[in-house]
Amino acid sequence: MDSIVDIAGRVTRGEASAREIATDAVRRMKAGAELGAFISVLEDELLAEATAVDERRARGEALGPLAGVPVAVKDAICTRGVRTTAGSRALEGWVAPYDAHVVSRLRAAGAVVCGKTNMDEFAMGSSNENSAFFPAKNPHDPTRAPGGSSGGSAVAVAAEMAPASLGSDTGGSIRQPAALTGIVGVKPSYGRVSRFGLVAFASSLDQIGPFAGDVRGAARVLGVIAGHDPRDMTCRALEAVDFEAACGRDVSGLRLGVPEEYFAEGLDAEVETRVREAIAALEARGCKVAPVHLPHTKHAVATYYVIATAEASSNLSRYDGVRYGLRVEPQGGLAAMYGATRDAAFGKEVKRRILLGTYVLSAGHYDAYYAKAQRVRTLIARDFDAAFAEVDAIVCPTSPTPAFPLGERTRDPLSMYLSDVYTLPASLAGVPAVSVPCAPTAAGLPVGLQIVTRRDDEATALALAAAWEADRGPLPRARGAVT
Amino acid sequence: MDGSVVRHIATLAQLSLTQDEERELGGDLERILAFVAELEAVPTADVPPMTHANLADAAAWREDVVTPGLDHDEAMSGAPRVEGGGFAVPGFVG
Repeated sequence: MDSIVDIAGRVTRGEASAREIATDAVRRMKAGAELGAFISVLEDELLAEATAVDERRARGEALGPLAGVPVAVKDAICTRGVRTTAGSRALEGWVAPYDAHVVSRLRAAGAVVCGKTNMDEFAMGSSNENSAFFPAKNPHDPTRAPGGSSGGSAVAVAAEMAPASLGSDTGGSIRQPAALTGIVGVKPSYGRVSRFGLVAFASSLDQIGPFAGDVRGAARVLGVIAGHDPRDMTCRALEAVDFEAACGRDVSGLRLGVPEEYFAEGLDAEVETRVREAIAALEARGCKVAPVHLPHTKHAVATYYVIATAEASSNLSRYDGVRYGLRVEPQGGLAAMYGATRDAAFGKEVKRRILLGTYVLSAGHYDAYYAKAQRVRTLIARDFDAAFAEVDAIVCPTSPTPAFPLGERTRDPLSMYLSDVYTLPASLAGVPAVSVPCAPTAAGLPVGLQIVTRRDDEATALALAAAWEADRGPLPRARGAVT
Repeated sequence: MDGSVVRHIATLAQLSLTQDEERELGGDLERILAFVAELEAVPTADVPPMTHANLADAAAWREDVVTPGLDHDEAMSGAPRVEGGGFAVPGFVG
């Protein structure tokens, strides 16, 4: 399908109406329904919003950089007047009374929200199989997972149902599904994008970011959603950056670090080959490539699963059946209502993480687990500081394997957690990272190159991603893509 | 992991678990805790905890001014049970 930049250009110039783009998006979302990308298809709302965009154009108003672009939004991001489930029975019928900050920004830029995408329940998962409703399927091979937790947002773009989508990334939930479905995904620096209106999982890690079919499109959406919002006290007042212009920057002379810890046991041989091809192409463009060390990488999974579950156990205490969401009211008073409500509301992985988080925060265990993990988090962040004193970007695989079969890792939570081994460190350090597709494997499965840069330097990551994308050339369409 | 520990943690987390869940999740918890125990061996004596990625330079301070928020009806719109304009819960005072 047409790119974000093409659609916005055509609508702005009057060569296409937002209404006809929206009508086509509805057709595409319906045609791809068996992939399970959407929890809600917003047909009526989308057509009404698109009509409003056309009316603005007819009145001579400026439309913004995403004029008429349908954007699929992860169902953890609040959209006023339509349900936001976070992939959970807890919020199955909940309708947000306000728009998330990023949704307000999308609308102000002329974008239209086309649907709410499937996800692992409360963003806890790496395959989208923890959705309380149904799994999403990988359009390159529907017997395989699309990754998670923002699996539906990735599938929507990879299967050409929407030109752009938003996800959230706590430990890799944008980058890993982007890699596994063959599209571009950006996790911004912590604090670049407001979390106001994002259903909270682990607040010191959660960030919202874009998916797109190409780097320039992702950069444009990032430019729209980034920026200060006083409603999120961790959202910083950074100078605006022209991310799209960065996509045309000359990358020669940039120093790239290849972390040996990421090319170790557990890395699929074909993934390694594809990632090294991309690094070689950047070297041929004049980048200087050298090894770097991130010695605490091996502790990232343990550190993450202590910190993220601790924060989640606190954040999810709000689902008690009082103010919103599911309520189950047996005999036995308030405590019985809390227990019965939460038992019915949460799936197994969510309960597992709430229990783990409660345990590591409980008396007698706090110092040994939670405080310890926070200290190791400092060491992981310092690894990046030391590496970025030597290099401008770190280049590595996004995921150790291509997309894995549905059901393969659902019985063993630790094997699922290890899917995120290459994405967790940047989340813990708060630095930005982009996943951009390499050439696919011989079996046609996508592979992602991850580019991690200094805090607040998304521009360099996007420049490198765009340079590699230009060298790589167009990718084969997903077999399950909608036509 | 001892069932009484799992039950204690579940009580703290306001979760009512079935016996099957208690057994299965207790086993998972034990294996995950054994995995994260690798952190014990990491030297961190002089390392400060990282509580957040950027609290130091976030916009933590702002003018104390009233800004528009949800009105009462909007704020109550998702409540499972409303009585007298407030959130209603089962009685908990004898």
